[in-house]
Amino acid sequence: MRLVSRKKLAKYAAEQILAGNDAVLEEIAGLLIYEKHEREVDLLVRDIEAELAERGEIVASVESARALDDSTRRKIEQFLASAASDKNSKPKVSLRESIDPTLIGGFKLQTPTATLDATVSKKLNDLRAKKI
Amino acid sequence: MSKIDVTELAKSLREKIAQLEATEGLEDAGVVIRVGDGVAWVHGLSSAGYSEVLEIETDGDTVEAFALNLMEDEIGAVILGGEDKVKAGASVRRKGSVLDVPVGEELLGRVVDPLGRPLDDGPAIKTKKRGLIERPAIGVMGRKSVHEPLMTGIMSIDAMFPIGRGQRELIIGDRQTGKTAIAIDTMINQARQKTGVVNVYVAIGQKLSKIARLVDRLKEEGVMDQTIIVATSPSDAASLLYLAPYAGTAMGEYFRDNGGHALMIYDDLTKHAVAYRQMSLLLRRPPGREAYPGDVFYLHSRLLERSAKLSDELGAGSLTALPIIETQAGDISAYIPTNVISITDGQIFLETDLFYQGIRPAISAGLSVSRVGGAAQTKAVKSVGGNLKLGLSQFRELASFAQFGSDLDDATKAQIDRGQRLTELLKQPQYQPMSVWEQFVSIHAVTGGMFDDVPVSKIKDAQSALLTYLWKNSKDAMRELNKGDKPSDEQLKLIDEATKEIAKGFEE
Repeated sequence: MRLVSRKKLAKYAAEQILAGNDAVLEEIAGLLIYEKHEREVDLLVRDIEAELAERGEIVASVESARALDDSTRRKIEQFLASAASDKNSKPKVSLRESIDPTLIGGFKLQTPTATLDATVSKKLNDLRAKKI
Repeated sequence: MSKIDVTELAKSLREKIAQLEATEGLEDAGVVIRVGDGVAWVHGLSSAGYSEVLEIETDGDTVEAFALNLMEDEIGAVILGGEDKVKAGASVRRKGSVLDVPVGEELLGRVVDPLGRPLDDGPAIKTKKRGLIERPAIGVMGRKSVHEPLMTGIMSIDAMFPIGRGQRELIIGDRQTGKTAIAIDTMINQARQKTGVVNVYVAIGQKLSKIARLVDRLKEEGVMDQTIIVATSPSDAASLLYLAPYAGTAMGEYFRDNGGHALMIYDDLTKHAVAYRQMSLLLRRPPGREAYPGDVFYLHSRLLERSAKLSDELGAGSLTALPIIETQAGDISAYIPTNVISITDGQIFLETDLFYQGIRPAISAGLSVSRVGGAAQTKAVKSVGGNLKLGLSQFRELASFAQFGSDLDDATKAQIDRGQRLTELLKQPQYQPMSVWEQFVSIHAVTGGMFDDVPVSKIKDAQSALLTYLWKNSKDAMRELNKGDKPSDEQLKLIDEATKEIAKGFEE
């Protein structure tokens, strides 16, 4: 049985992480084991990242066919900062980078709640599905 | 496929490049966490709206679904076909719109699925307009009371339970009692009488062989040109069966809203409720009576409320509905039948016993009713319909006495004889709808007592002889009568004389 919804749990975890309370991860791990919801770790992490993003701590992953150069990286960070929901404070952006040659070209950007697929492979798929 | 303009090749190619290079920016995205039985559970997309279309990415393609359960942690979305391609972990995007279908005259004569994709061999359907599948019903001020007849061509219905344009009249009965036959005859009659009413036949989970036979028949009768068929088979996903009547209604509403008249046939809403029950149970909504979800009444009420007669300001168009419900062993007090009976403006109840006695259409005169059609009945048929109803109800009351034999007074015997003749007269073969004058003349002959000496077994022959005679000798008068006005004394005299003349030839 679920004692608290995943969303509420993520909210609590984000607040505690930003407050510097390291023990929160242990608490959550204990709760997940108690509730037998260990399989939901990835979903919970996405929810926590979404809550963190709302509070100005954006974690995004970038997949690209080749390694990103500094200027592209900087542009992506600026783009994510400008797209943040809270316009008043300057958000902190961190990128998780990975390389996938099957994307052919371009990059795929994923934040906890949104995605931007600017890869050549996606465009080819769209063409195949006659979307363009 | 569109033809490429060779003179504009460079321009077209540049446009394509520009389209390919355009990136839309950040889009809301979610992920499929589990999938099965036509339902995908999606994590993320917290901003998705109810009934919004979602696009699930599959290998090199996308599959559409629509969001029906919006919960705090996840969304339950019903997949619109192709669920085998959807995998857990697939990314999901919002389409930013609710479901819509192509609408317009281009659909006439076509067989389509609930998303407006062609199922016949015809070309791709390109319409100028699209209509929302879910749309609120027209308000009070946009309506007008039902006053124009929608002739079914079936004598017992037009005379006793008349249907008006904008009415919702339920056809209810057990399996194999002729429910669809009534609907088809009504469609055929719209073409024969050139009423201009567009037919939209929605097949919900019907066997494809049955739909194919129906299409052939409609083509044969020349009705297909003014008909749209929205077809779903039992092998389609429950989501498509659920959408079919709403999609068909959107197509019918186009004609209603443009000052035209359309007739909706939902064949049948029992299967629709069953498909919705399946979806609801898979979405883990709590089951209620007969395991149907709590909103199964709303499911049908919001659908049938869209049938209406519009006010003059809105173009005076109409959408008439003939929903069909299949009962089990004649039980009209089951959950779905009572719901739909209470929503509609009357019902035509078909009885198995009557069907097997050879009384076809097997309409039960006692349990059938039309609550608003009286105001819309043609004056000619109305003038004889009262006597018909009275004669039949007296017959029903007295029929049980008839079994006891000879101790009946002459008046009772006469009423029983009249009832038997009326019952015989109301038998009508399939695919032979009757026009107004044919109905008037036939009923008048029996209720007026002119066929009292014709043996019951010869009533149909006498009727057919009378109709042939009148059409041959007094075509203009019959055409005049067909306009629906109450017959003049002259017309009555002409008909009475002909009837008596014909009756003589059949007396024993």
